[in-house]
Amino acid sequence: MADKDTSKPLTVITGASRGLGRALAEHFLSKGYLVAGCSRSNEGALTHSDYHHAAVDIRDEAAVTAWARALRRQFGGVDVVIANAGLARSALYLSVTPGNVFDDFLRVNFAGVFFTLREMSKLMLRRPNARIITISSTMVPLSQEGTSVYSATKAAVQQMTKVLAKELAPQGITCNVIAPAMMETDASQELAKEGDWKDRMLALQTIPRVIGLDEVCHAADYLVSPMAASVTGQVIYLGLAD
Amino acid sequence: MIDRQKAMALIQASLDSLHRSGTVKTAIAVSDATILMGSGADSGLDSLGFVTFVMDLEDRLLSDSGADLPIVLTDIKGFDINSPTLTAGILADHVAGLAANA
Repeated sequence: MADKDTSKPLTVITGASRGLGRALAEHFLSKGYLVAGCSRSNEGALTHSDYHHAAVDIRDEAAVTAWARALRRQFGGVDVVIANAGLARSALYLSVTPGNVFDDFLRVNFAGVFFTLREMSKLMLRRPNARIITISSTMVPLSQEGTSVYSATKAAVQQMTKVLAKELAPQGITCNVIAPAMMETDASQELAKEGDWKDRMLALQTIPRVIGLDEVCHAADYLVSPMAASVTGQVIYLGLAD
Repeated sequence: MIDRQKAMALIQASLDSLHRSGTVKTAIAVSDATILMGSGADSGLDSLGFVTFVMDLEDRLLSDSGADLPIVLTDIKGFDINSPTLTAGILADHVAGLAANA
C-alpha cells in the first residue's frame, strides 16, 4: 500500500483547466498547496509537480465518487474544496428556454456542485480548519432577464452552502460563497457577443468594471486563512453592494 | 481474511477510536443488535459522526485486507434508506460479504 502524500495541504478545484478554476489552481499552487483539479477532459490541464488532474464530469455521480475515493487513497483527506465548475451560456428568456438547456444548467450548476460537496466534505471531517468555497454570481441578486435558470441554480448553490455551513460547523469546517460580478472568462466573452450585453451588465454593478480573476483568488485566500475561522455561511459579492 | 467475526472486531475498534477522540460520548460494547444508526441508536453517533465512523472503518478494512472496500449504505441488505436503521450485525454481514467478493 503506497504511503499517502500528506506533505502539503490539499486543495480540490473543479473546472480547473481554464478560466477562474485554472487561475485558482495556479494561485493555490503558488501558495504551496497540493492541488487536485478536474475538468471533463485532460486537455489543457496544468502541468506542475504539485498538480494532479483528473478527467471527471461533475454531472456524473459515480465519477465524482470515484475521484473522491482516489484522492482519499492518494492524499488521505482534503483541506480546501472550491466548487467552481459551472455553466454560464445562454441568455434566453425563460419562456423560450428549452428543457434540455434547463436540464444542463441543473445538472452542472446544482447537481454537480452537490456531488462534489457531498463526496469531498467526507474527506474533510478529520482535517483541522478545513474550508469549503462555492462559486456563485451577482446575477442572483440582480435577477437579470435572460438568466432565470442560471441565477436559479446559483441561488440554489448559495442556499446549499449556507445549510452545509451549519451542518459542518461542529467539525470546524467553514463553508462560504464567493459571488463575483462579470469576469473575463470564456463564458462571459461568449455572452458579450450579444449586442451591448457586457455594457448593460457592467452598468448594473456597484463597481462597474470587470472583476479580475486575481481578486477572486484573494477573496479565497481570506476565506481559507485562519483569520476567517469564524466566517461561515456567508456570500461575498465582488463588485456589487447587495 | 475478513470474516464476520473480524468485521465485528473492526467495528468495535472504530467505535473505540471514536470514543477516545470524543466523537462518541460513551464507550460501547458492540453486539449484533447494537444500533449504529437510526432511532434509538446505541452508538450516540449523529449524521457526521456516522460518516466519520464509516470512513474510519473503511480505513481499517484497507489496512487489514489491502483492499479498498467502500461501504455504500444503499448497497447494504436489510438497510432501508427511507427508514434508516443499521445494526452492527447487519453491517458486519455486509462487510464480510464485501471482503469475500473483493
